[in-house]
Amino acid sequence: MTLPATSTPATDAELIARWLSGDQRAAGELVQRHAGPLARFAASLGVRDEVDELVQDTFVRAFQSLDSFRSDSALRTWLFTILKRLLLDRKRAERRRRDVAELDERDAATEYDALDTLVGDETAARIRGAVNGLTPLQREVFTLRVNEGMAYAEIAEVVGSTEGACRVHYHNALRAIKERLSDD
Amino acid sequence: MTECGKDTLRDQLPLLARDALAAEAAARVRAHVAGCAACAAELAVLERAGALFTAVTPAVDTAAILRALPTPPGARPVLTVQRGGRRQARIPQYVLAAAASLVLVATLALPTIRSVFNGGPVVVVDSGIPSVPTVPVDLVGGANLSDLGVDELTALLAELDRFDGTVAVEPVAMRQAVNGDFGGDL
Ligand SMILES: [Zn+2]
Repeated sequence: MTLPATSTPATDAELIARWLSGDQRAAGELVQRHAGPLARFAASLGVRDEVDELVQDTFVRAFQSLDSFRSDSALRTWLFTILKRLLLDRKRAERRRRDVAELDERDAATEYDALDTLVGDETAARIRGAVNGLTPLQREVFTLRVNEGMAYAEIAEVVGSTEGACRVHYHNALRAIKERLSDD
Repeated sequence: MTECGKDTLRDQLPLLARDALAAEAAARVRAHVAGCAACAAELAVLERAGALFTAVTPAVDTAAILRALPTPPGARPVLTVQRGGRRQARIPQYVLAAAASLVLVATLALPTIRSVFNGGPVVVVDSGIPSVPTVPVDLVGGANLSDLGVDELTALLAELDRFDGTVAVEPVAMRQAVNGDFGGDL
């Protein structure tokens, strides 16, 4: 006798319920599903050596309060929000260590590092330069849109802005990159 | 006005660039892109940017993440459960049972020990538990309280005093507690 093939993967909400009732393997599926996108988000914002640590801290933070997670909001949105918050906390701590006076969140966000990886060709190098030149909010929005194809409403939740503003940030970012590409 | 002017097709471009559209939707967007220079240019940027972001992303050690995660609540010997927005600790049943037994024995024995120690008649203290025996209680190993010296009895009383007053429940209430019946689902 053969079991019917399970074609539909479990939803995040189902995996959360399974984990809460003691099924540790459900955590494995959730981590497999979201670790890559979280790492890509962090790396796109210029995080280099600490991507692993940042993603791990995000999951630990999330799982510590998973029983209070509202299943009507997407786990993915929540995880990205946690990662962004942790990243800003780190940037702020870095600034403090450098004896700079307390700064507000927006200033801390200007600390995103440049993408300095070796890129294959001139076009990629120009895109990298253009991304580095985006404002922090433009970069966050553009990254989430390009990497995850997130809807503006979800992006707005992650970056703490409005849907309309995120749409504008995305199009401005896209225009800046296109202009950079058309530069001689 | 082009179809992408309505933004619906254009909004699909990031998903198309990441190969995240269902086949039917992907075909529809690709058909539009084939005839729209603006969308074709945008798709090219998105594909290159996506490739760049992927290139700068290191592999993540998911096994290390799993090792760092807390144990699921359902697998913990002592549960923390959500009720009305507050965490509440639940004591395992075997601990409750052991504690209840200890308190019960201690309470039953206390008046007897006091009485023997004071050399007077055994007095039943109102502990809420009926039928306390009025004869000296045998100790573990068959020894009798009257066999104990003053120092041993003093130490024993001091130990039992720690339990003094802890039992003010009816046996029924205690049984409910042992059975985990706190009046709500945990
Ligand atoms: Zn178009």
